[in-house]
Amino acid sequence: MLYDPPIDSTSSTQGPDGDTDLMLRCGGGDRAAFEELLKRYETRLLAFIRSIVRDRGDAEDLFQETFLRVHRAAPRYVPKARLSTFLHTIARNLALNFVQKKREKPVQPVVEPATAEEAGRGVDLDALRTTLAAALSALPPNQREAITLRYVSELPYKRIAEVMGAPMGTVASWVHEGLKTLSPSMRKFGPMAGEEER
Amino acid sequence: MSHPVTPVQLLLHDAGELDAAEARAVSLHAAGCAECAAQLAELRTLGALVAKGGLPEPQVLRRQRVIAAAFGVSHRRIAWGLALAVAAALLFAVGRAWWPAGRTVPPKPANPWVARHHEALQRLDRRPVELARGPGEPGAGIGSAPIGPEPGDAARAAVAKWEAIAGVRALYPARVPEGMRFRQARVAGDAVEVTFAGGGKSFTVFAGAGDGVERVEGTVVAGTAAGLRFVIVGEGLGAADLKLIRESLERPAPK
Repeated sequence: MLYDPPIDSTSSTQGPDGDTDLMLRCGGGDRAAFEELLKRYETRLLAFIRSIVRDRGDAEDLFQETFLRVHRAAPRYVPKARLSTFLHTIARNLALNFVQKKREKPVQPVVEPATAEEAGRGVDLDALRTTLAAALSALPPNQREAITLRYVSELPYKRIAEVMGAPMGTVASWVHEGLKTLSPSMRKFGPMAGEEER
Repeated sequence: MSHPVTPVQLLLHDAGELDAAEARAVSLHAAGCAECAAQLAELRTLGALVAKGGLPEPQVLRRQRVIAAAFGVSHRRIAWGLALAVAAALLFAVGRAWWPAGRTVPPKPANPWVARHHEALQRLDRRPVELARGPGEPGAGIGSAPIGPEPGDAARAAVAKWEAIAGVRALYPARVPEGMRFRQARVAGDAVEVTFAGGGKSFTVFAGAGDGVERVEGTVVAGTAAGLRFVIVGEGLGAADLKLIRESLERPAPK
């Protein structure tokens, strides 16, 4: 299997290093716990916010605001839902509100430059990122969000459905439609598909 | 060609999110269907590419910024604090300018008894005591003779009049510091406040201080005279002044 198992397994948040435990410790003012949460969700949440606002600077601001909200909410946090759902929901609400206020401003696809280490691995990550950013940018918002939540944030469909407030089948359908649309522009990165099959 | 399994089912099956019966049906079909297997492979590959190309780089600086914002004092808070401080200073300045000339705020005593006494005087109508009434008149009887450094007969007589007020004995020291004069006496209920002033200095004697009132550090000094305790609240007094007052108070009350 190409992907890690969905993080929906019941044990992932229960241990001493689980998300819930970290969040509860955050609520008690534990700075280290907050830092750990931040580290865990940094890239996934940022990618998700970018998939909505599609501007690097705005996404960074909203990412910070998301974690400030999390920090403020931590003392009152009751672990009813999965923390990943909670975090993505906060991020989504902030990002959608932001987009609503800033509607119609033309946006450039967010492209993350490859690091020197990545470039040294022989993977044309810059090209992949540029192509992917452009292709994602052309997708309808629901498809872009669903794909990012599934493959970047690695949320199971059930959780994506909760975050996006849509039925699970609909979410999977958005993912499928989106991937189909991405397919032609991603074909040139075939070697990665070959790697997967080894 | 129509399939019993949809691409959405393939995706959900691949994610392990189909219920057992549906998952079994999809598995059975996909195992023998090259088209579905190819489609699933393509979807997986695309998903992997998205995962690879869609993940931004983690940045220590980014995290540090968030942590600083969450745990540090924000610039906005500092700005608000400064604005409030400036507003408070302005209010204070305006208040002082507006405060009528000559109206003084009594010093706030540290001693609890003196504090209560102060409160009583503030709460009740602090009527200036009319001076120079006849001895023994109720509620007054306070002599008007200025009290100099060495009180003469007039001052001694005034003391006697003061003592005519029930519960009040020897309200002021037999001697006051050089250059100071009796300024005013005010009563409110059974509380009496006598102020002496002069040369930019003043001190106030609260009569009737109960047992247990001892010397209080700072501007409040307690002394005794003939068994009666006094509490003095002074303004602008130096250590020499306080010493003199204390010595005066410790003298036996004039007879």
